[in-house]
Amino acid sequence: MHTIYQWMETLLPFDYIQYDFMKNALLAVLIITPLFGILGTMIVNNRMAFFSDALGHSALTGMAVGIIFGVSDAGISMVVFAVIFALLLNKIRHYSIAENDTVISVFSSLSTAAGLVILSRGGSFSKYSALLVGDILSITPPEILRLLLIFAVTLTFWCLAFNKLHAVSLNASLAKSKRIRVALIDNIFVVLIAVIVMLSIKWVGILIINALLILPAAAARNLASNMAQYHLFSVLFSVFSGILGLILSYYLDMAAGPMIVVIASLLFFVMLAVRPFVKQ
Amino acid sequence: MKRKLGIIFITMFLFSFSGYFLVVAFGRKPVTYGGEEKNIVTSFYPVYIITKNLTAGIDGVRVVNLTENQTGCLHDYQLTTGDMLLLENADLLVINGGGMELFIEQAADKLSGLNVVDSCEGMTFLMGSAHDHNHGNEHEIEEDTGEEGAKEEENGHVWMDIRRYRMQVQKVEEGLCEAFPQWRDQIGENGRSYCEKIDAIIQEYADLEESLNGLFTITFHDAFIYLCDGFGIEVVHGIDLDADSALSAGELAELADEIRLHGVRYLLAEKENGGVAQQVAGETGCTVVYLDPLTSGADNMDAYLTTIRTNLEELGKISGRVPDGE
Repeated sequence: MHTIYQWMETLLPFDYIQYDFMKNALLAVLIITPLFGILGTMIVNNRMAFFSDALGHSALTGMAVGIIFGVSDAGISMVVFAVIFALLLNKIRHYSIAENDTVISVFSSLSTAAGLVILSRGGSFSKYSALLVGDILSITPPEILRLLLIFAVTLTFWCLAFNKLHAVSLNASLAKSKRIRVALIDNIFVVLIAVIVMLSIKWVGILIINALLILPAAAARNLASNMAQYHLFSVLFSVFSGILGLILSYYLDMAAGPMIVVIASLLFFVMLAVRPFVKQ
Repeated sequence: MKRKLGIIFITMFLFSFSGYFLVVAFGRKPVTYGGEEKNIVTSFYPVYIITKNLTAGIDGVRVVNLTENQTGCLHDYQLTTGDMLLLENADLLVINGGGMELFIEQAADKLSGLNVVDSCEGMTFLMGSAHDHNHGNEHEIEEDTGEEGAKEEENGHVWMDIRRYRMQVQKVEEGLCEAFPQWRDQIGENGRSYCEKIDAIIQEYADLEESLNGLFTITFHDAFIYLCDGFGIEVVHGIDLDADSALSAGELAELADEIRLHGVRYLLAEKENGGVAQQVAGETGCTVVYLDPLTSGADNMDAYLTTIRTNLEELGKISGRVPDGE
């Protein structure tokens, strides 16, 4: 880690980089944002924006369940709960007679309410409110390593299964006829989202994690005319918003997560405005 | 593709440029930490006032309070980049301890090299309102068990008991003397004179314990449990309320029952969050006594003494005692 810090100090001769918390936050941003940029493309394509939002909200219940079972590391209970939650939600949204958004909304409300009911026992929820906004400045090297690991897993999955995932996203029946295991691919994808959302939620916050997943991809969609462009632009927007947001938050003394989202949102609107002039 | 990339990079450049102007216009002005000056950072109000008193008149010491703009308790406080900078440049960090500074524990890894004075070190804590039926008994809590459960029950608002506050002053004094031996005499002298002021208040209100002992009450802030403990007031039910929390119907009913059962006549609440206490008072005919939990306040040396005196006078009114000087 020391070597990486030294490199960063040499490559980036700015005063914010002399502090370890900024180095860690920057490393985390450099891992989280491309990851969100890549995943976001498929989430936006599959119209799953609300799905990932519901997942974010389930963090509260995950934490509450962990406290009930006495799990000392809340992160573990959150990930386990989110994976079960994602698989269940995925299954039900395929079988339910209700509309997709209705099913997701039911799950989202239930998980938020259940979490609040349990965590507010004793009259005080404020202990957990830090989870709502997140704090990227408190990330530690072992946690960065964990993010790096999930980044590698996501990249591997993307390289191996992107075409299948894309086929499923375009037309599930057609994909099935091509002998693609639709349910398996779909489930791996939602589990991946669940794990990534839970691992990053402490740093990004429940209220805005979905914005980070959706906005860069949505902005990229305004310009891109093929999948390669879509991915490239999405990752570019995501990384740019992450770095600029973090640096501005340092100098303006504001929360980093929301700042990143504000920049990503502005990018979305600019791309929406230039879209008629660029996209044929 | 080239055109699109061009547009993207121009947009990014414009964004960065606007960001730069924002920073120039509204950004944090650079703070100089250099020179011989020693930076003492305190976690929040009570320890800030203690440290200010102990370092009074010493040139070359700068005392900064980390959470100066924060009102209320610190359960949901988040460190900003400015706070992290302060901590990185601190020579000494003075904390209250007792689980009050969760926000510092979250950043503990980054503070491994920093000299920390825990003002509650070795102190016995009372239970917080997570254990509702607190009858003023002392329970020893193991510190730093690493388990969330233990942290929730620990009540760290020790400064509200003036005798414990005195112990905190002594603990901080020891820490400061150890960290800055060059100012040992001055710190010691300041400590003695501050403790004398505290002792004077203890003396002045010594007979309050007799008149309040055995009185039953319900507290709406964990800080008041310590105030009650200092005067033998029995807390039949403790609730730690924040501005954004409310009581469930079941809890309200339980409170009303307990008030009747124990013959509680006074509810102790903080003015800012007194709504729930008023509601309970309306239901049961109790009187709400407003006290200051001293989690924030004026930035002057005698701020603690003035406010704690006001609190004690409020308690004096309950007991029917007219405080000296009135």
